[in-house]
Amino acid sequence: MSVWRGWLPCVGFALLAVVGLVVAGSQSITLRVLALGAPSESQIAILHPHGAVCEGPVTSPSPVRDVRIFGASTGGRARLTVDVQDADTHRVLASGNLEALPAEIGAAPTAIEHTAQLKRAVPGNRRLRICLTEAVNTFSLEGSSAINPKVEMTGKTKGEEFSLVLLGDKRSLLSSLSTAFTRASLWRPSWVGSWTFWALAIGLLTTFGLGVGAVASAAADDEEQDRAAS
Amino acid sequence: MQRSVPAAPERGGLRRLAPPKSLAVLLVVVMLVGLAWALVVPPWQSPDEIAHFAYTQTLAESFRLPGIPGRPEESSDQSVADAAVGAGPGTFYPQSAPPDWNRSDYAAYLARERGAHPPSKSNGGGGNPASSNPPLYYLFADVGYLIDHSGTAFGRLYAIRISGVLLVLLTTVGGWLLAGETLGRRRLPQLACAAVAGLLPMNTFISTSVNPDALLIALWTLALWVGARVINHRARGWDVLALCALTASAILTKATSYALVAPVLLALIIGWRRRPASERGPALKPMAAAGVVLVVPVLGWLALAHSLGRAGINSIPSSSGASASGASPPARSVNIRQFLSYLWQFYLPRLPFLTPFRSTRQLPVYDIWVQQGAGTFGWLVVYLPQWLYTAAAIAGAGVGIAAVGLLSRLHIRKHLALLAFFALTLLALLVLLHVSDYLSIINGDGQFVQGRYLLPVVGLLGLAVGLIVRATPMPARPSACGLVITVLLAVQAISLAAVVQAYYL
Repeated sequence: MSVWRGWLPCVGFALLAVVGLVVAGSQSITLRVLALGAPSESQIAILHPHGAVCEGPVTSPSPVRDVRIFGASTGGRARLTVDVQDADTHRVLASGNLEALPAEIGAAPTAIEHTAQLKRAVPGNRRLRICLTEAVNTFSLEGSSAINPKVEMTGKTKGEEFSLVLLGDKRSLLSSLSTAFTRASLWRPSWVGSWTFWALAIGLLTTFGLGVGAVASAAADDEEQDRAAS
Repeated sequence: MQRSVPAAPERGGLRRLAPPKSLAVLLVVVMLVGLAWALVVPPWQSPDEIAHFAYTQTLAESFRLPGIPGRPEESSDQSVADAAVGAGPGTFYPQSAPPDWNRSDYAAYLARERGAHPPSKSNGGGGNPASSNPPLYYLFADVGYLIDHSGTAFGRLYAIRISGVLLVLLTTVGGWLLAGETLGRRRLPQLACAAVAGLLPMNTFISTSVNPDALLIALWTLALWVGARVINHRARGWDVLALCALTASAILTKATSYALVAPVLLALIIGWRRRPASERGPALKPMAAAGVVLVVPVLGWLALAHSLGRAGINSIPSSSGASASGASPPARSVNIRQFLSYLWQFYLPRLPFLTPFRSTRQLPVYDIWVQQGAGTFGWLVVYLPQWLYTAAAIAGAGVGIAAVGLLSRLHIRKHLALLAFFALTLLALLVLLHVSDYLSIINGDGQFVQGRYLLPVVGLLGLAVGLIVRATPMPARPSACGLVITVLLAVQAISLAAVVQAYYL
């Protein structure tokens, strides 16, 4: 019976861990609906006060609520206006603002990402052009050589693109798993599909129970050994 | 440390081959977690995986080592797949350049792959950063590669990754056996040790990537176990042979394993000296034979590498004197005072009179050993929440202090011999890594060490945890072991979630 008393707390640990993970997974994240694919590896443009740069066309498969760019102010606080335009008519569909400080040397890549919340959502499946205008300071914009030949960045050297990510709805991590698994099932062996990741997720959940089982079995073996010894 | 309580009863017949139930269940857990890592991480989003895959492919397709003059680093097969998924641009920037999620791009790739003229799998083989590695791991990886040979590059990549699950299972078994040999056959400490060895997220991530470290970690863990056997059982013939074979295999996997030679020699000497004087002479013959098993394959590899005009050992700047291009200025050699200054600043805050030597934002011991050791995924760009690193630092320090406290009570010579073997293994690895790092920094090549380079001694971390579990009063022992496993599984889940979020959401 001492074995039971011994490993029963393990059940509590496992339950606590699962509950903790579910709670953590319920916190909301903003889903990327489109990433242009240009890595934020180097400075490709400097936006001076009132300087602007546009990039497009890009088509998001679902509504866009936020726009994320990468870079840092080169001194003081930079203030950028982000306009989402119709790629064909250049009519502004939605706008947002963002502020950026200078980046610390050696800062993590996430430290240079900046997100502008649009005042209204832009519907999906529409050809868009994203324009950035600096208001008061200078902003160093990050990007790379052009990844997508159909996308063009205006006002600067040809053959370059600034890193651009369009964001959609806020959702919890758990409710986004379906999207994640659909995306993850591409570029895999032919037998892998979303179902594989769902099966693995369920499998991972069961490992907490299996862990308790392993401890129970080991504890029983040790107790038997002690009994045999005494 | 060993056998203060009676050993578990021997099992007879076929049952001897079956693992104890607790180990079998743990292996199922490790397998599930390993499969998840193998499949969740996007193609080529693991350190140097592009180069390691190219090496594997060159060996499989033309049975040649990479570094063939005039050839590109990657085959057309790999470069087409790499470009299609956006692996290259995304390596260090998953936030801005995650893998392509577009189904029509994937369909276009498949159409090209299955078309009349699919890209060649055998036109790569040029020099790459992994070229100077010995071939043993890549021969193992080729088995996985050939399983899905007629599939796409992605099928072959993931087949290799899935075969890596076997290696992490081997590491887990190695941890179990190591604890059994060192702490006695007590299931709970064995389970705790094996769980640490098999479920540390960074270990699962690396072991299920295309990376020679996967085999390296398994071989080192097994070598630690067999080394302990050599000491405990007075250098029995088969143990000595196995230890030498494991060491040779480890050296043929990665040059880091030259660090194993000194502790292995120590284990052999201790084991041999523990024999009665009358047995020492006759024991030399099988030991010499085992020495041949260690030396001949290594010399064979070095000779082969030399005859092919390639480095048999990964080049360290000061010893090579030139970079791969051969155009770099003469390399600077070790300056002891400067090296000690480097070492101080790696582990402790810089003193005012020391020349700055830091290659990381925070103290290197924290940024590299703790953060990267606990888990920094992708090309070291996917981080865990900061609080987890702080918790890992506290837990690591706690385990270290508790283990040292427990070990300081040991006075039996055999225990001290085991301790010396383990301590020398850790020390030899640290010295090799720090000298390489120091040389890399002074020669302008930047930081060399990464947290994962400590994974070959993950068995020792497991052993420290097993020791603490063993020292816990019996009624609380299952809880202690359960806590270890639950924490490891929770951190695994958080790590996988971080990877999913970085690349797919």
